[in-house]
Amino acid sequence: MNLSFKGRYFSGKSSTPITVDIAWHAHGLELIYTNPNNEFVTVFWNKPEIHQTEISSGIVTLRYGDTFPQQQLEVTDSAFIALYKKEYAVGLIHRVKLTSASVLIGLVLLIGLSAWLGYIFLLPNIADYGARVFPKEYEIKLGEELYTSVLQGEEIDSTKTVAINRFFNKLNIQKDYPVRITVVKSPVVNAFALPGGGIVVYDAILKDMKSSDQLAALLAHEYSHVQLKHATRNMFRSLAGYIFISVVFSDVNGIANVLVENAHQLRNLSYSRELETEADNQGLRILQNNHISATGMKDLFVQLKKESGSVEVSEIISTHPDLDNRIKNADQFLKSTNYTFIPNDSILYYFKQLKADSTWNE
Amino acid sequence: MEEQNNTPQPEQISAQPEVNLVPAANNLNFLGTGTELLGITLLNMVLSIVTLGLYYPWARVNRLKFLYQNTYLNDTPFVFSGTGKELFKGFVKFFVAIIVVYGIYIWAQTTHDITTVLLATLLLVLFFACIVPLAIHGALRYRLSRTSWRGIHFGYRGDRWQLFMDMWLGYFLTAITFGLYNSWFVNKLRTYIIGNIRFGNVYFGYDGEGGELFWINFKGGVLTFLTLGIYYFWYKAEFMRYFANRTYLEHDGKKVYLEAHYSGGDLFGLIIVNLLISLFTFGFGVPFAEVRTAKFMLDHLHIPADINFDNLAQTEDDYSDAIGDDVLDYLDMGIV
Repeated sequence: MNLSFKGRYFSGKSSTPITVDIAWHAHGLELIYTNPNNEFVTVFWNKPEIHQTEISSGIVTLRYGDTFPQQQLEVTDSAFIALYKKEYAVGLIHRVKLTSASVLIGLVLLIGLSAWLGYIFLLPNIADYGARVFPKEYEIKLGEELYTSVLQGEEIDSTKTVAINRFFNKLNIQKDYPVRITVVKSPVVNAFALPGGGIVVYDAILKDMKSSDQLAALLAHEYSHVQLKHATRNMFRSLAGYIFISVVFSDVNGIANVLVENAHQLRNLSYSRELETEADNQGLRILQNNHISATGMKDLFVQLKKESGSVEVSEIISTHPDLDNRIKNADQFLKSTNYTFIPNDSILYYFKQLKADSTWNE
Repeated sequence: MEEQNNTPQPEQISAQPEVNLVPAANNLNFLGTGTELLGITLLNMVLSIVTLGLYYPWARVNRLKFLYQNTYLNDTPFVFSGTGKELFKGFVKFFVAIIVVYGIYIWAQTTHDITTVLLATLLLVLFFACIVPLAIHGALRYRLSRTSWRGIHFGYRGDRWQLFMDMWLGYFLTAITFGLYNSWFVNKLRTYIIGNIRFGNVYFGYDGEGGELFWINFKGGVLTFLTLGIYYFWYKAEFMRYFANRTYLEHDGKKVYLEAHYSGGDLFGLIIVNLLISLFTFGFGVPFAEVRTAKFMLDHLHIPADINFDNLAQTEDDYSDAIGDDVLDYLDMGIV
């Protein structure tokens, strides 16, 4: 090729601009100028050592060499810039015309799409994987920490707490986690499970229970959340979600805040329908394996549905909008399975103990 | 590089070096457009999402390159020659340190031993207290060494431990004077930092006085309070003017002060309009607001013609450790 352009050259030693003729060669650029003594000087830039610093506003800035300080060349000739873009490795950012409306709209759509795909498919899977490989001992330890902080400031009913733990033990459920149930005095109808085996039951939910099967169903359901690592999975998911959003907005210090904030969110644990159904089904299987009547599960939902109409709008109900479906699900299970249930006297005994106490929080 | 002297050939005679005398004025301009910055921001977002955040250092370089390359001194743009790879290395080092320190802190919480918890908390506080001066030093070294104009590099020649001691003394005096010393502290820090900045053989300096700064802050604080915040813009403008007008450049035996013309009214207009742009475009207008700010800052800043930028000489060394830059970004402290 025998093309020539004009440019401005800086030696790397001084800021004095030198106008040069640039001869384009396949293996580099030849820069020619006359020095103050009126002598011709030729500088040859080998292609592999030419580094581009930026192409912007109709100017390309090139640097030469790998040792400091580098020589520099500025060219504003659009023919040169076009040729340079064609013949040299140019970063992605310079190949896309970032100022054209269609590219900008395309990028916005791409952000929406990739964020949506990432949020819906990628994140939950990564988070679930994290929760699965998270060692059980740490899960239990973490659960203990959370348990203490969640119960801070709550009024614990110690008599009922003792009774409900005995009740649970008499269910003879095969446990992978050390289960610890606490009954808290509160007018709110609620019960939730923490990672690693902690279960909190608000006494208002016990108040309207008619049978020990209902309580067995409730505890089987909550224990299923523990067994299936739902709380841990939820925590990993929201953590991953926060990190993802921080990353999208290049907000690195946001990640540190996430770690702090997350601890406070456990009080408002809510699970997706998918996880609730999973816990319902697991709970029903637990009842079946231990020969406890599964009608308790259905009755529990019927009771909760009735209470959802009352003044106290509880968390457990507001986050479970599909009670009808869950009643149906329990019904189906009852119809499709057939097993004998064995009456369990000790369960009845502790249930009566729980009901006998008349200090209900009105 | 091959350099050789040739005998003149007729068609090449036109190639003469430009020998400029002192230019009429030294102009600072920002020529970037909001659309361009929007494009870069969007592309950065896409790549950050797709790489689950690993693109972050490269995204930052794209942004910085745009800002530098569109900032013109006379007829030449500035160049940011840092790379995503350098920033990535700093990023990794810093995050390893963060994970270790937080790891110890979280572990200590699980021991429930009050002494261990206190020690771990102390470690965490000390880590962040120590890292700030060290990061400011590192960031200045890195960022300025990667900033150049016509191939002439900036540089920072301050001493790490000097800055460290100055900052700790400043924290201490500010604390025991209930914040009164702050104006003197800020002034002293600025004198030290700016006094150690070089641009080739141009020396930078700052000769503001703590007492004067104190009165600007005092008057500004009182009037901002009395006017329910409206005076803030005039206070801020005076503050910016003071810093700029007390900053000087020395070159070839000449000393010139920067001339800043930021007015409260202009600043008010800038900030209010930027806010409206950002709000009504659901954030997509932020790049336009950023470009407006850059234009505002440079349009109202002048360097007197006495400095001839055509004969600067290269003086600074190379410096490639980007860890400080990342630390400051993490702490949300923009300094450059």
